[in-house]
Amino acid sequence: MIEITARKRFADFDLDVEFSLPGEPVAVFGPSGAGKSTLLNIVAGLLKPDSGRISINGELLYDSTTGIDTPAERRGFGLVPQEGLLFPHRTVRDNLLFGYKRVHGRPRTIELDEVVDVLEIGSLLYRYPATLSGGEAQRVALGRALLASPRLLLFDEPLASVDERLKWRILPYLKLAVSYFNLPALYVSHDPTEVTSIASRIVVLHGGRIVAAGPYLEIIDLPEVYGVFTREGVNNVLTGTVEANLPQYGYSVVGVGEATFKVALANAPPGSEIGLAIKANEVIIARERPGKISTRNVLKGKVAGFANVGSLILVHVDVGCEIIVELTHGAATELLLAEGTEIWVLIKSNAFQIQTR
Amino acid sequence: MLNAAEWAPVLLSFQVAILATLFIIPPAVAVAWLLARPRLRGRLLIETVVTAPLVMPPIITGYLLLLLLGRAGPVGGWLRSTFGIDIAFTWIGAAVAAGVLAFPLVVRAVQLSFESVDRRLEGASRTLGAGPWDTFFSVTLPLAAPGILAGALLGFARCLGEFGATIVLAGNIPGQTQTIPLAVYSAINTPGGEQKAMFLLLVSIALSIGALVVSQLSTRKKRGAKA
Repeated sequence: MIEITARKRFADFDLDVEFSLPGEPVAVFGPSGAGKSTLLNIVAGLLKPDSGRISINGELLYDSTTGIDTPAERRGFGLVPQEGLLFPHRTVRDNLLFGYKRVHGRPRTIELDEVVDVLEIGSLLYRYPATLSGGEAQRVALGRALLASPRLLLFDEPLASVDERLKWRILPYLKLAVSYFNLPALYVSHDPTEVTSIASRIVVLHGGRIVAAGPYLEIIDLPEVYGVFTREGVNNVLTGTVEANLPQYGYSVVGVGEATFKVALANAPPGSEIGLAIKANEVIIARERPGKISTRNVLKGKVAGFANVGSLILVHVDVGCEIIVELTHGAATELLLAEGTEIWVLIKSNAFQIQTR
Repeated sequence: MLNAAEWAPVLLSFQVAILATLFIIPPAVAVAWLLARPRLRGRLLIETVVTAPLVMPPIITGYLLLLLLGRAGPVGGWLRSTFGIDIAFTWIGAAVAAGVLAFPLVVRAVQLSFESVDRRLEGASRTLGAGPWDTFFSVTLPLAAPGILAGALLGFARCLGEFGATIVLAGNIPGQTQTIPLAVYSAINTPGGEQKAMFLLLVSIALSIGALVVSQLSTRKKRGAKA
């Protein structure tokens, strides 16, 4: 258990947070300027808060009342920074071993071979960071943090400078590494897709304050949270299994919970795990089953709940898995939706963003 | 073609410039590192003291050094009575004069190279278990190294050309303190010295341009590696 209380005053902005992390990944979501990086730097020990308290499993690392302040190099927190920040004068291998050679007072729990295997970076070991692609650099940066045998992983917008297509290829590595090494993690990002796919618990930071914390599908109904998410594009993020690839039809069939979706051909063999994201405003709801229609996904579902989020309505729909759909008040009124109403959900196969390794 | 006496100023200049450069690099690196910190108390004072020799007439700097390091001066007198070392009117004096005058130039170059090192790399190093000194020697210094080399070469070239402060502090003694610029000065004031002056002039131009080219190559390589 990691407990964090921190206050820091800046000229134009105050950070004032209190939260705890169980032994699993937690995402901190917020728009830029919300204080996410400030918070992460305070936890890492790179920035001193005005007051606060940070402890891990009962061990006090920072306490403004007693003056305890463990320096960053002794905290054992692995940081995966934005843009990787690999040491340009060292090979990938030397970057990876930088922290490995500097584990103080704790046993090393993670070895080079393991990290190289999990992150698939064996072919990069003798190259210099300048020759790596953005995605490769981020995998190496994660490997470097892991090899310091951290007690907590800190991700500071690790995919912010990676282009959208590549992002979907790197995310699975991050998820795999976090679960494989079974580490608590604090994942900071302004991208709803990233935070929802990496962590089941999300802390929403806005203007230096925590405005909500909990699972995505619960907190998204809060208007202030929804507002923050909307600006970055609200997504349903689903995890499923490829059931079949049908090139003759031009789509793959993916099972998610009790539902199956037809999505653009996935570059993954049947049986493999796959991530799907679909924007809440790209899903269509109909009261009756439409006749012949080009949309490949026509699923029967039930309204599971509503949330009034300002000018829009967020409808939770159960189609065998739960997805959220964004409607205008006008549309919701015309459809006469109520909890339990049977409806049809329409999604184009190419509206899904696909996340494979 | 040329005898030993004509090469003497060249060799002496090398000796003086190498000693001066080697001695000013560590303090120049330390001062430059301090000045590269974004929040530094007393920055104005340090910058003023360090930059002063760059804007003062060299002859004034030389005279101040003579007052300080001469046999009757507070530091010079102490050095002589304690270690039996004379600074004024020796080749060491020529090196001191050259070093003091080159110091601000080296600090400027090294400071720029420290400022070009991404501070966040130092943060990353800290979180990976490296303390402040470890981080300095493992990350900051190697990344600033090309700039430090460039600064050293710049300083070396500046030392080769030092005249004003040298002639006051070390004098113009052939074979002892007569470096290239002083020898050129003597040669052009001596009837029939034109040939010697021309020789030293060519050597001097070759050395200065050589040092400058190497200095620029070393920073260019660094820029290429960063891209």
